[in-house]
Amino acid sequence: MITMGMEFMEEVPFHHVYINQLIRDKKGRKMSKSLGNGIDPIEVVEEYGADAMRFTLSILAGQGRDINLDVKNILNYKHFANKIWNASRFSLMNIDQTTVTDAYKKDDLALSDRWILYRLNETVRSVTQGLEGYDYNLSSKSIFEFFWNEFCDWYIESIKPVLYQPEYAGRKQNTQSVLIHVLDKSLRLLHPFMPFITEEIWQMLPINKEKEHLMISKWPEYEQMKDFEKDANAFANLMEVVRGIRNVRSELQIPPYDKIDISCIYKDTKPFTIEETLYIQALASVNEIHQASEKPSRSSTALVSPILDVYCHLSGTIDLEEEKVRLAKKIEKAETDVKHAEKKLSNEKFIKNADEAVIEETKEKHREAMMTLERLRMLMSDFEG
Amino acid sequence: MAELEKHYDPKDIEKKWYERWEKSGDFKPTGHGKPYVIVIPPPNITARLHMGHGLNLTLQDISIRFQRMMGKDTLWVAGEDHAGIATQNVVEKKLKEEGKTKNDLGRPLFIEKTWQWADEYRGHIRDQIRTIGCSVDWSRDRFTLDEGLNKAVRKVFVALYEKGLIYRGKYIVNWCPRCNTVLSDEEVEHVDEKSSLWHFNYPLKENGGYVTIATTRPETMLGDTAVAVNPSDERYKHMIGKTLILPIVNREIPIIADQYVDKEFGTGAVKVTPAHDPNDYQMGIRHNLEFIEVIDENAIMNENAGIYQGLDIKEARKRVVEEIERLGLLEKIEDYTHSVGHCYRCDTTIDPRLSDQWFVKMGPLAKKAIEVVENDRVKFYPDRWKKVYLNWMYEVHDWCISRQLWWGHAIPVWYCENCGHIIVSETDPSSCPACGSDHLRQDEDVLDTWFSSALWPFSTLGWPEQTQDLEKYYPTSTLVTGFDIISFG
Repeated sequence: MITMGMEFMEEVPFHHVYINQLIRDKKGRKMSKSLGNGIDPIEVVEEYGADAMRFTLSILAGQGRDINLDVKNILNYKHFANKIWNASRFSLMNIDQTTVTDAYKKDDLALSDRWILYRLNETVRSVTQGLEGYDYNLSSKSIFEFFWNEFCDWYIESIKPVLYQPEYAGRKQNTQSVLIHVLDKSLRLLHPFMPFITEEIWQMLPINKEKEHLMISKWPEYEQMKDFEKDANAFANLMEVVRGIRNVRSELQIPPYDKIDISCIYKDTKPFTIEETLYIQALASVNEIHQASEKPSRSSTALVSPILDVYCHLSGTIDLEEEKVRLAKKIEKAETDVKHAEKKLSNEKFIKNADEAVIEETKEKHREAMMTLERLRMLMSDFEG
Repeated sequence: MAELEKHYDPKDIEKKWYERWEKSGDFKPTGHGKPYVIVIPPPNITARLHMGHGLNLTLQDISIRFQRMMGKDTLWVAGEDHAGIATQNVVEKKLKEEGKTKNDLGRPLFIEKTWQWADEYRGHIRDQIRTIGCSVDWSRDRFTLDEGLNKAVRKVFVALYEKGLIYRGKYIVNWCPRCNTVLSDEEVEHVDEKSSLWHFNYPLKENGGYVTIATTRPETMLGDTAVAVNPSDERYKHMIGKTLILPIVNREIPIIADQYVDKEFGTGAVKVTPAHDPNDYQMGIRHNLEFIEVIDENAIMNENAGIYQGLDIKEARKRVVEEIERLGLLEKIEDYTHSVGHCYRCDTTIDPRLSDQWFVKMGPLAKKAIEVVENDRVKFYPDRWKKVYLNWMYEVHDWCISRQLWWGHAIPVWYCENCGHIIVSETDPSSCPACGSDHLRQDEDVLDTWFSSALWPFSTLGWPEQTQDLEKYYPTSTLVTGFDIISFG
């Protein structure tokens, strides 16, 4: 094509050539009729939808690597499509559709609003840059992580009190505006990857639209949001605290309705503000936050960081001796898991012969087991100390 | 109040939106803004789309939708490939079910039937492209065999011929003796096969002694015109330039030195059959050897095979080995597994052979194509493909463009039956310009599908007409494609 273009048009036929990956089966073998290991795209669309297939292919399209495709991958991104659907459905059902606008008031934003707007902006940048450089993998990963981990798992959870509880009525409208704004922009960012589901949802958004179809609407622009950075970091720290408390709660099987107290040792940070306190209480099912100078007795470590330490108070109903026995068992199991994975990974034969995916999986298992073990040992040392 | 259905059901949503988008005209360029253009690498009409297409189309659509939302004047040209040999095979298979061959129908009727089939299957492919959600401009849908493209193909053929860049000549080709057609390297599938490695002794002409050669194809020895060794091989250094007597045939053949020979293979000495092996062909050119064909187009031994004439390859192989053994020149037979080329359509073993074909002289054309990649006017993603492309182009071979098929762009060459004059013309001639005779016969071959594909980025935009599309949308922005395109320059 280049030769003929130069000969007859005296100009290159195209500026960029993207060489797409070879698709192999999950074991890394070439798909072929004789092996019967092909996956028919039209059948996949029938079963999972085109959007799920497209997203899978895009996120697996890393430059310079072949794609080992497993139908399980496609199922995973069908779940992502479901997640998009359910989060959008939830948003639509929890906004006042007659009065809501996507133009939020910038001077009346809560901490999590400022955080999600900042994160959205960063996501706009990475998705755009990725697509400009044909890095489909980076772009899809970036919007996937933003939408699922940040928007659904954290932002929506963080605004539930505002949406549901009458004492926050004054905040409600602006929160709804941010919610719909972020949803609108997310759908735009997702559209090239998942055109159908995003168009269907976007049509339902009660906002002023510059175009009839999402497919010809405007791509979000990256803005200067330096003034949001500090609050975004504050919320990210707060997420660390909440994760730590949730881990303790889950290891000790403390039910969500059982609110606990925590103690914080502020090393290189100011005590939590009232707003931050409210988030922690709501997101980690916390009762009171105490300031402390050392680890309280009968407590479990939720977080140890350079700026602050967080401890969960254990109520009288928890039998420490019983917990120790239970933890010891769990530690034993985690140790076996770690050893098992280590043995496999140090086996030269395994490394040489196993499929790359299986090796990766084993490494991942090893990492997870190590982390679990570390967490459990920390809990154990709390009980023993 | 707007509310989403409780459960996400892609089926209805996807069908509904594709229809609405297509009807709204949103797939067409807006005419405003900087152009962003992709021309689709046309999928073959013969098969369902496979996952490779799924990926290729998805990535193109992602870029197209992104650029469209960025406000570019975005065009994705739709198209399908007529897939010469593949389509003809499908139609021939169908005829076979009815107990007929293409010759029963004759060329015009066969082509008419193939068009019917192609139109139907084009429709299927278009539906599959829709299913994946591709926002291609269907109003600009093109077919590699449509009238406009035929015009472009003829213009290019004539122009290159007049420049001396298209010529007719003998060439070693991948020949499928069942389909009776030439296959491109990409149409040959290599499969490991268990076979043998025969070791024959070729006697030296003078002073006694012999050289032992190893071969996987004993029957082609009848066409040997040299034995080759590696110039650095100590075992044979003193023999280079000496003469051997080719057993059975009793022809004198030289011992030549060539870098191509692998010292580790067999005995380090190989027989050279320039008419029946692509590597030997190249050695034949390099060393000015004789080209002796011993196998015909149906894989039967020909008149040059002497007493073996009329035998098929397998039988000839058996008898040649028997004869060599009788002559006391069979050194040994080893078990050997090697890669054998097969026709990607009918699985028949490929028989490399010389054949009268049309060629494009690639050297002069490649020059500029190399330059624009070297200086990044065409940029590869990922960039390691730049090297692969350049390495290929630095060593580009002349390109065999004729195919012994009926389905494809007919070669615009006519032969005068009266005076033998050759007419190469964009329009069908009615009489011979040399002698005035109207007894003209058009070349019976068609062009390799890739000949039309090579023009695809500008022919789809209207070339050779100076259309608005061509003015506005050429050069295009991006080509998204599999790596096999590299070899088509």
